[in-house]
Amino acid sequence: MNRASILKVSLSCALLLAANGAVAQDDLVERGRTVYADWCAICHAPGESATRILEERYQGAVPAVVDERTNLTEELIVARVRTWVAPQMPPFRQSEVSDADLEAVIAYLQRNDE
Amino acid sequence: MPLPAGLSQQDFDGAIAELREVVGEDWVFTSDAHIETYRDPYSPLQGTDDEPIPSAAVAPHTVEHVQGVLRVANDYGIPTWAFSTGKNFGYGGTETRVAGSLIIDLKRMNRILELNETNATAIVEPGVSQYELWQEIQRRGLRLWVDGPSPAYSSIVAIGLERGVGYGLNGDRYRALSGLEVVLPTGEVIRTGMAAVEGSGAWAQYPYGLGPHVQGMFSQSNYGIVTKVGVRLIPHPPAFRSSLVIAPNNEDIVPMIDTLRKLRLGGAINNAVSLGPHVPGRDPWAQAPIAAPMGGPPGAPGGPGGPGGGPPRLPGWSFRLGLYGYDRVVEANWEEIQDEFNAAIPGANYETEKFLAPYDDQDNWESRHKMLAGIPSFQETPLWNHGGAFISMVLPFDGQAYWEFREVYDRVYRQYGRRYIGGALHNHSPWGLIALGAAPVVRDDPEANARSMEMARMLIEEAGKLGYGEYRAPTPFADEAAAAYAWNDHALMRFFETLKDTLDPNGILAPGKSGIWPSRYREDRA
Repeated sequence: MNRASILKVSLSCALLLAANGAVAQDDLVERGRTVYADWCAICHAPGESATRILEERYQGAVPAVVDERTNLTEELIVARVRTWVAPQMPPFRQSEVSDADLEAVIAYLQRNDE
Repeated sequence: MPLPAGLSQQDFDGAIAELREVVGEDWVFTSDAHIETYRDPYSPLQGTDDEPIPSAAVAPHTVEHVQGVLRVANDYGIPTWAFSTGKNFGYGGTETRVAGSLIIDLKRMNRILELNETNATAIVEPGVSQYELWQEIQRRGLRLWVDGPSPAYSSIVAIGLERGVGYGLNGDRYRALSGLEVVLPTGEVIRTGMAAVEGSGAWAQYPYGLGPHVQGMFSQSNYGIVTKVGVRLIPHPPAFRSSLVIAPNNEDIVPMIDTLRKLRLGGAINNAVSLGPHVPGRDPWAQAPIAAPMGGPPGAPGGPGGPGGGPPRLPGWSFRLGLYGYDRVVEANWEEIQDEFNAAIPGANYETEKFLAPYDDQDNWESRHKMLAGIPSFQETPLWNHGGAFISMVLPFDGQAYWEFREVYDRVYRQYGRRYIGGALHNHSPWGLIALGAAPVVRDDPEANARSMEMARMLIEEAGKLGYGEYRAPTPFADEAAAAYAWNDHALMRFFETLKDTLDPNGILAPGKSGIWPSRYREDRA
């Protein structure tokens, strides 16, 4: 195999790995979307109870619908889900939202972050 | 985290290892971070030395897992505390009575085993939430409603077993249960009612079966872990009308209750109505106000107390009723109902909306209508600021009785710098009225919570003097609530204890639930 061919193969492999990585990330985001729909949207969708509270709190400064936000850190999301940070939002246990589900929700909520 | 009393670290480690063999490595939790999620965020005991922190948690997935967990608990003498989803906020959530208890988290047992549109029934495991059942009903396109309280991630099984409320036609949630599968503390599995018939063909259709009707023994009890339940659902009626009835004056609550009783007993109103203070422009149980209506600071939201220091004067009362059935019958009933309230309450007014089957747009209904139909909702969730413990008494369905009760409750509230606003008033039975009060819980303020607990105990005591007891008790107040049922020198509790000692000889299942302590704890407490 000449040098050009080696380079070509290497490039193909790199692209393939990158593509696989992107696919895996897409899958994770999609899984997160489902978990969000099952566990979060029932309070955090437009017009729902938590959204109304956040509308009052933020007064338009940031989106009140949580999955429209683009500045949610992993630490914040984990704290909100696993501990009693927000008075009206009790923590969710491993038997409800597993660590793998939580990782997916983080990927989903950060999908549009810059 | 505390160890179970009397257990060495070595024995505890041995028990944990055995539990991991039973349910798998991933489903036994001992880390501080995991145990944190099993503390009741709304407990008045939070952050105090009296808060019963669990030692570990285990999440079984099958009946065999549950049996295995109980075997380990029996072998090591570990107290356990089982819950379905742990969402009965205000009544204890996941909170145990004994520090170092092993939590048995049944959320993973979330299979819907049968869903029958023809009979409007289901058979489910305890981890199935109202919302999950609703999602499955929708996925299959069935014309069924569920009914239950908000928040909808609560267990459809546990709401029934705890004798909680809904707001529609199946508002008496215990009566919606039919046939249980139960793992007894010794590990034996029984089924009740028609579920006990081999290959039962009518499990969820008829709760009684033959012989003693023992289903009730497993509600609000510590006699077994319920692993399957038949549940009755609601078939879509041809027509559904959702109406808000508003009485404009504070004193109107008396004729409002009395008129409602007449209509409930007479069959014109069949849903589990909840009355409450009317906040103009709001629908108390659907557009829930942020502050809990039953435990406000002085004067809020109803203004200053009336002459003579009575309970706060409110700008009226309201409740939402549902009418379900054939269109012409619904309309005729609605006319009669308005006539009755117009005659009893000058200035009564109404907001109403009608829906006709098929309810293809039900997803877009406002939550106030969804709750009344029986579509699971999260609408009440914002009621909670930090939390509270409900002290809820069973009263006769009588306006004057409530008026007098409200004065007694308010007198206690005032001693603690608060006012009793009143409500909600549930009537999931047409014969009784359940009046809610709440001892507020303030996060990170043990001193305020200690005063709240004192207030709660006084509410129980003062209501007891009127001959009233609680319909269910927040876990930390179970003993006080049970003590009110004292007729014949606590003969009922002695009967409960006899059953407990027989069914759970090692006293490992939920000691102290509903004030029922097994013998080994009774001796310590004597």
